[in-house]
Amino acid sequence: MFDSSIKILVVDDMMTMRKLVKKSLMQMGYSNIEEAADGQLGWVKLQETADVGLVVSDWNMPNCSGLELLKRVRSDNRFKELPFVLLTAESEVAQVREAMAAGVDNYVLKPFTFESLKEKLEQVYKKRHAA
Amino acid sequence: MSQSTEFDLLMIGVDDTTSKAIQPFTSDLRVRAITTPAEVEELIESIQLPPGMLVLVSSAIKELSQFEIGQALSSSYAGIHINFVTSERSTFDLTNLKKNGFTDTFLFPMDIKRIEERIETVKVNKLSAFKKYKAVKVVDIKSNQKLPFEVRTFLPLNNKYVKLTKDGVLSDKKAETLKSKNINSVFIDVREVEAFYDFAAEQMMSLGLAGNDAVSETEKQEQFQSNVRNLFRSFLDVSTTSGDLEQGRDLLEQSKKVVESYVIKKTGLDLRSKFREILGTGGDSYSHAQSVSTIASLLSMATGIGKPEEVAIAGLFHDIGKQGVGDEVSVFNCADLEPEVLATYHGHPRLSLSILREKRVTLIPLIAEMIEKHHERVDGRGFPGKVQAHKIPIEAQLLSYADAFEHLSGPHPGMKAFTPAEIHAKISAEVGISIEVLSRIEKFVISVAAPEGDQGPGKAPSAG
Ligand SMILES: [Fe+2]
Ligand SMILES: [Fe+2]
Repeated sequence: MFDSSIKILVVDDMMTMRKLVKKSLMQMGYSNIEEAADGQLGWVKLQETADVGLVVSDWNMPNCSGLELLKRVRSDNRFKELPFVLLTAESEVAQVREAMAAGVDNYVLKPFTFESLKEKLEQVYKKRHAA
Repeated sequence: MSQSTEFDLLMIGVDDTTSKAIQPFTSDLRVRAITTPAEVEELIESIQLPPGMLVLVSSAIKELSQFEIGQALSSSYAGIHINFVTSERSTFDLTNLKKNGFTDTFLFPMDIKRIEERIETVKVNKLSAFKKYKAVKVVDIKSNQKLPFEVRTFLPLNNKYVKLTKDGVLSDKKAETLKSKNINSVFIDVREVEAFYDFAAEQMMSLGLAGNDAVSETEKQEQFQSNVRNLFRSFLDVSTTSGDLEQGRDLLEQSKKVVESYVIKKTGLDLRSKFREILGTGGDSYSHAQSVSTIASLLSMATGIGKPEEVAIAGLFHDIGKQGVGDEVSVFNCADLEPEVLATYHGHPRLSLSILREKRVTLIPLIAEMIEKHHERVDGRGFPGKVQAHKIPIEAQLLSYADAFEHLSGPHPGMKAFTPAEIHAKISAEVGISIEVLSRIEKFVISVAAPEGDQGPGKAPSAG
């Protein structure tokens, strides 16, 4: 699993969702967590704090969606390898293919549970470290 | 995660009209109403909702949609019921509500009857799974002494639990009230109830010991016997009281737990874990074993036959070899069995012993003998050995009595429960126990039926 000191950026326009993701991550032992309320702000946060090691982002947000944020991240050399997980509602599953093509590491279906989030993060870590 | 819930019903963003509509059903519940995003945030971050908690959500918080609240709650707490309630048809978007984690939806006024029923379930649950306090019989709770638990009493008119102790100390005045009002059961917080069982077991032990207390030996003996009677009575009460079944179960649990604690303290052997280790988590067989163990132990305390902790151990393991036959089979109904099944049944006392040997449970010879001979009869017609009276230790006969008592005292579908006298008569006639043992037990079992106040002249109705 990711080192517990890793900095994680949580991007979601819903306050409750950010709190939930944050709470789950803290229960997993992560304490270094940054929040952003949409893709645009998330992008700004990424530039400001160089050492983000994992992004967990909502898909459907005003201003800049999770997919757009992902595309921006992947097109920037500094963040090419940054692990990126999308939170998606059921209705967005059909679009997951597009996200895969854009280089997302994994996606978590909403409403998510602590276990499902943990499992997905473990998968991401394993895949990253198997190669 | 730290705060505990002190409410029965949680309402989030419920508008005034809707609140008023359901108000008649919630008046005797503790309701927590959340109306701001900050409160929702606090809820998610720091409050642990117990499974089964009923939550009503509506759309009165402008900054937060009902969908967001539904998602957040359903992701955050397992097993809670998230219900959407509204008086506005425009917010009643069924598909999206379900998709976002709502378990049910109510549109008023037409669903008013349904919400009433739903809220009614909270009141029922309050009495069982989510209740905070357990009923216990009063044991020797002395005043002006620090207890490891708080004691409460229930005021039915106000439907309220009131604390009698302050920081675990019962004042002389409150102790006097308990006594004068003849209060027999009090309530202990479920989180403190283990401490109570331990305390009660310790009291029993110290009463059983000779010592240089201020209390005389006779008084100690009386107190001890009164405690034993009280604990034993639960086995009868649970099926006979027309009153509060839930409370009956609490008191039965108290009896079992106190005896269990007593045995652990005396022998260091955790019977429950040992049993589970041997048999896995078999539900029903443990219940019979635990009851027989408790009854035998209490009978031993009352009559002085055997050592309470030893008969408790024998009681717990006596039927471990009975798995293949079925728990409901007993000496009272085995006549109807097929010959092969009957043979298996007759083999179970010895099978119990070989299973214990196999699992490397070492027992002192007397305990092994109690297990082996719990179905022998003094007339030589028992099983498995058909042994003669002089070869059946009185401890094995006591176990035999406890076993039969358990089968007869339980609830019998469609039948009136037996009184202690009826149970005793039936056992005397059918089980093959010596007159000596029967007469020693009889006095006790019959005395259990009498109200506590009738124990003797000049004795105040005991609070113990
Ligand atoms: Fe048996
Ligand atoms: Fe039995």
